[in-house]
Amino acid sequence: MLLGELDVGFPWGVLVLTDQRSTEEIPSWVSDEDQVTHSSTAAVVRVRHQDEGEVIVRVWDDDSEVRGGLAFAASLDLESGVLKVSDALGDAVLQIPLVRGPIGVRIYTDSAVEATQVDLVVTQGS
Amino acid sequence: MRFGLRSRVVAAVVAVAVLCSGFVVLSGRTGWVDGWLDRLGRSRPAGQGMGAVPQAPSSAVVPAASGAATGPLTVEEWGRQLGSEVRAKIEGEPAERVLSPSTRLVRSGPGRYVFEDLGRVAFRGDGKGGWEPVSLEPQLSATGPVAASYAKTVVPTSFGRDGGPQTAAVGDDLLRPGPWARESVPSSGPGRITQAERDLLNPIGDAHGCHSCGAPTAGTKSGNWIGDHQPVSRTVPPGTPQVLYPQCQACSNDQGLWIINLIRQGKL
Repeated sequence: MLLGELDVGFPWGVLVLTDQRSTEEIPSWVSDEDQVTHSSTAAVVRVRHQDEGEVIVRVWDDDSEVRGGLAFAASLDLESGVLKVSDALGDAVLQIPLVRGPIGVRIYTDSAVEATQVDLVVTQGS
Repeated sequence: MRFGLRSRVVAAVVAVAVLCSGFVVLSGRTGWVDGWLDRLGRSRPAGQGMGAVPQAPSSAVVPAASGAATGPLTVEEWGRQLGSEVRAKIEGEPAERVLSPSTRLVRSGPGRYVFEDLGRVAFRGDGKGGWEPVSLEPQLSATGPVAASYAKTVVPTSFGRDGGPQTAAVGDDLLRPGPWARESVPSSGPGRITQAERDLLNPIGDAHGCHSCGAPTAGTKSGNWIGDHQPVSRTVPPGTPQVLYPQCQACSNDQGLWIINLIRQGKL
């Protein structure tokens, strides 16, 4: 089931997934080739920069309709019970209420560079 | 007699030190320690020479040695050419100062500039390691009724792509015009750049590379350079004039992540 969708330009070409209340620092990408970097409570995905066009982001609760290849799979701690999916500044944002605790996150993209379509699958529990 | 000789030696040493302190190297780096504007530039009373200089990162750079001015320019005009404030660095000291907006820069020869301000010192380098007093009253007459003036030779630095050591911007340095910043494009406002801005920005990026890391290509599929707004939109009030520097995709991502973390930590 589709939980939410964004179709916007992303300043700096970065998409953020985070526990709504997290202030934890997110480390930098290990290399320029890495598409995703993450901490225990958040992940940042390189996507197409807003100067180059919009990006469609869809959040699902299962993998049945996702597009693209798997770019990332991990567990994030969601102590607030709300997953925030947004651009860097939080101007374009989805707030997905989930159960508190660890969630599984899988990120699918249509391209490893300048992704224009991103499908996020969030599942309860790790 | 012996005492007199020693006094003269001491006096000579002091004089040389004073003269050497007037040798200034031009640097166009912007952004950090904006308070200097007040402490060293705008608020400095006319007629007062430059005093102690605050410490600054030794990595400070900028250059534009080839951005030849053809005549007297105010610092404000010069800053627009560089897309930045103009800072001067005293040779031999890891320090920079923001030049007063009223300061004028006069090209005195290839790669050499005299900067004038309302002060009392009147020296300039002769380009051979020596110093000579100068009188700038005729030139300063246009700037206002001042009884005295000073000038210092300004030598644009030559770092990075033009020679010398240079490293890519990281952290807070990503929020400022970077070591490779040369030319910029006036911005129509925050957000996505316009096609007209892109048409002006791409040739600058192709010529000088990413302003933050010097990368020769943008790393985008289209080949277009990312327009990096400076000062960074989030860090200044709405309506603040901005310029665009060419930035590569990777540095733009890094800058975005840095801002995300600043926001998460409540610093922005």
